[in-house]
Amino acid sequence: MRWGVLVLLVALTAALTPADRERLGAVFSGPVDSLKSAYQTTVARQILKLAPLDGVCEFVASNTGDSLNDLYYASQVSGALGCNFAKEGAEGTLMQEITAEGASISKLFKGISSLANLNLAVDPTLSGKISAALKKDDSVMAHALAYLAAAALPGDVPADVYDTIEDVAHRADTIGTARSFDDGLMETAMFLKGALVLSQKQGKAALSGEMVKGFTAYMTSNKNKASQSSLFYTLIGLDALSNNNLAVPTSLSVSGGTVISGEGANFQVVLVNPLGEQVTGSEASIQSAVVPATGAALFKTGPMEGGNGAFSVSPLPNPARGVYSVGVTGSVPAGFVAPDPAKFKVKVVLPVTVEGSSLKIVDVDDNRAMMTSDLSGGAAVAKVDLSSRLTLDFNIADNAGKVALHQVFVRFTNTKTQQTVYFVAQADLNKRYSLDVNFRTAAAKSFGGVAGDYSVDLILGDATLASAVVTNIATLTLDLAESKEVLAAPEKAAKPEITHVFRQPEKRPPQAISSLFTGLVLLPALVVLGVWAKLGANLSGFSFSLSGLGFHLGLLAVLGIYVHFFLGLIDMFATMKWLAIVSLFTFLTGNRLLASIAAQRKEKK
Amino acid sequence: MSSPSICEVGSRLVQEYTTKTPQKLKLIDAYLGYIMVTGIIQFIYCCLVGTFPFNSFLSGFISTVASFILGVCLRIQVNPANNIVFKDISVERAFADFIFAHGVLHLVVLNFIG
Repeated sequence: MRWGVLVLLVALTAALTPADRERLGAVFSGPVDSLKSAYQTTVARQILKLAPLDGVCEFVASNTGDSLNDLYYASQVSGALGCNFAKEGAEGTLMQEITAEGASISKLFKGISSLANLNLAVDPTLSGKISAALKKDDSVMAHALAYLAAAALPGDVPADVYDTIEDVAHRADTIGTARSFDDGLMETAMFLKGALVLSQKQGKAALSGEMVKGFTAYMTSNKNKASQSSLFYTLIGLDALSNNNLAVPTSLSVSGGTVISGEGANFQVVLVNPLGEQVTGSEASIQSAVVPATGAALFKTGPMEGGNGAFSVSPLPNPARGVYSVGVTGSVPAGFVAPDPAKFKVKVVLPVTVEGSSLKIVDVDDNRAMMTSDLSGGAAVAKVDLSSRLTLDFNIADNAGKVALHQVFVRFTNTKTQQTVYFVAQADLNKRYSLDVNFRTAAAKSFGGVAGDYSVDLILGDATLASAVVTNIATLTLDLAESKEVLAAPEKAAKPEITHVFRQPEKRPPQAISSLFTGLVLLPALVVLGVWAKLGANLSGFSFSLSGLGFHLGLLAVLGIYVHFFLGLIDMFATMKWLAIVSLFTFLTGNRLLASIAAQRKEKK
Repeated sequence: MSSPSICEVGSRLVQEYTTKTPQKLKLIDAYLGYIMVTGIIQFIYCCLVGTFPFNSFLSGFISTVASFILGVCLRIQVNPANNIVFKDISVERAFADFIFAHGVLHLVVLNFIG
């Protein structure tokens, strides 16, 4: 019997997939418009094992100037493609930059690397200059360039430079499983390249397996970035991790597409390095392949067929439908880090048939079966009304026996209005499905009281079915005394536009009235002054003593502060501050003044 | 004997007031009258043109009301007829309270008037 294997949930890849490699190849396919892009394109294509673009050597030969940057890019391209690039005075310029007093690590790196790539002699004693430059610049990038420069020198690896690798690596942060430096992708990639190239030369790994796995996770997480520069550095990092013989991280992932169907289908797994290249000399084996709930097995445990990074296994005969959890482990030769054991979800999909069906229309009042059908002769046709009851019984089976599926629906579609009514068929303990529709209640509740012709479909759906099965089982005519009209479809035309009306400012009175009342309000002040004068108020008793003057001045000062506050010249904080000072003065002088007046009054008495 | 008419009561009141009331109290009464008229004029204005901005009207009106109340308090405390009740509070003390309360009142009013 035909069956299909559906593979779900590919394990989180710590490597490039074939699709990724193809996409990256397309990104780095030119055109080359600058020395930097020539360099990046050439190196990227070399990493991806693609043929170099035409005309790059000529472009580099005709566009290189005399600057250190130009010579650096040109020499890298030349070294990668074997261009035999030569420039008048190049050696002189490079030596000048390298031997300059206090040359930065960046200049040292570019100079030394260029000389090496142009097959010119490099002085081994430059390691002293590298160490000196490192002392001045402690950043991650400086260390990365120092490692690369030291690796390009002839002779032994300088121990003081090599020993810093582990310390600098500890500066990286781990977020989740990904390890990276704060400064970002470029610094992390260059550090990896430098550290691993130098370790390779030394013959001893300076980074632990855990660190390498963390860096790999970070590098692969950047494979979907948009800019060419980011993708270039991602490739640099992945290339460094993949091309050494000390500790290359590996991973297991599914290959061969996600849906395999038909006889001869099998399950394929690859064991790859971070660049997605298969690891020769590796083995893979199935640890377990069962449905967790029932223990039914899909694959035989043990080694998978194939080798050198590509493995496959065929299912056991007549597998049961379901979702299987498949555990795969891999072993690798020396120089590689064994991959983490992987768990994949593999789904077996089988077709089903509906059998043993029985469709009955029963009269509710006298339990008389008005129509019976076993659906073998195609769709049944019947009339129903408020006194009818529809019963449907059936089994669902595949080649292993009766099954229960997730979705078993019966759909009634009104042929005129296209409105649908769904019922769910329930299974009993023997996996026999049944549906019972009593039109006395259902006509109003489910069908909305709408009479007419309804086509009845049986819908089966499940995760273990390749696609849903929809079968037309009957056409019913529902007769009702009063059929409700179908509600019109909601109005789809645009509603009238609402223009926002901003709040109108409040109406203020005309200037004249306001001015008039301002005057009216001030008038009584003049009147009261006149009345006081008439009553005999005078300033003859004004004491010109210190406290008298002080008190009145203090009051005026308080008034002045209030006026300043009202005019907005000072805020409440400043007002409070000034008030505290002035009111204290006013209080003291006022107290003195009033006490003296009281004393005078007592004397007079 | 017929009860005195309104006119007679009124003229008697005015006569008693002008003769018996000390000068200081008359000064305070004039002040109170001024405050009241100011308040009435503000209220008429509000009735004419509406309450916007409400905070300004409220602060102005309540300023006159509070000033009136403080003035009344001062008058009560300063009145020699009430000496028995207020013998612990001298005239100067009452005046000092009056000034202090006005200071606080005007600060609040100026803040609220907007």
